[in-house]
Amino acid sequence: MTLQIILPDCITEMDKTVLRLAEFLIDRFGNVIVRVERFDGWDGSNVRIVVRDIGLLEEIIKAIGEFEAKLGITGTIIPSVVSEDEAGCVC
Amino acid sequence: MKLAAFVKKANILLQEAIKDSSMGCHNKAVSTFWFSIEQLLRAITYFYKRVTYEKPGKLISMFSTLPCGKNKKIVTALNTLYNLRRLVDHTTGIIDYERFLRARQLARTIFEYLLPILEKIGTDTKDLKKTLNKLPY
Repeated sequence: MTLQIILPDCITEMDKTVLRLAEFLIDRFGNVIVRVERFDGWDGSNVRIVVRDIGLLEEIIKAIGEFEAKLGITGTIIPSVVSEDEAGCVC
Repeated sequence: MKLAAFVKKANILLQEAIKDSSMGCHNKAVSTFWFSIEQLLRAITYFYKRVTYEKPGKLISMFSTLPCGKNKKIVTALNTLYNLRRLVDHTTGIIDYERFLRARQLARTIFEYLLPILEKIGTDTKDLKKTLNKLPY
């Protein structure tokens, strides 16, 4: 599969943050990261990170905290880290 | 809405989480740690914003905008514990003992951070502190 970046009609600051976060997480965790999505979760989460190894949940959330601190946006990202099989596919 | 009611419920839930832990019900305990903390977050956000939120994500987000909530370590601990709770309650994932111990440690860190905030806003946390002392390190 090749990389596809599908942008919404109206790009928000949060969309840009998600793009940067994806790069940050890929640099840190490589192919453990399957997808990084802007998301409107039922529980108030706003970014979904689909991973190959859910065992790295804590490390990934810690990295998100570092990313937020670097950008001065602590608390902006409410992550939902899910495994590939729980997330379903993007068809 | 009385702040004491949130703290009272948080205390009851923490007692239940400790009982669950002692019986080896680690999945239930992780879930209940979160629900106990959620009550405290509601008390604090209600005090400062006069509103509460049902959605945990919104609650964490709102807490992190408060002067007392701008703490990277605590926001990360909240997000981690909440994701573990979601793993337990909404997926087929099962918490092993090692991860349960980590969740318990996160819960303690969060309680120890939130209790002084609650005291500062005039809430009695004596009973909750007593219960927290029973939570093993």
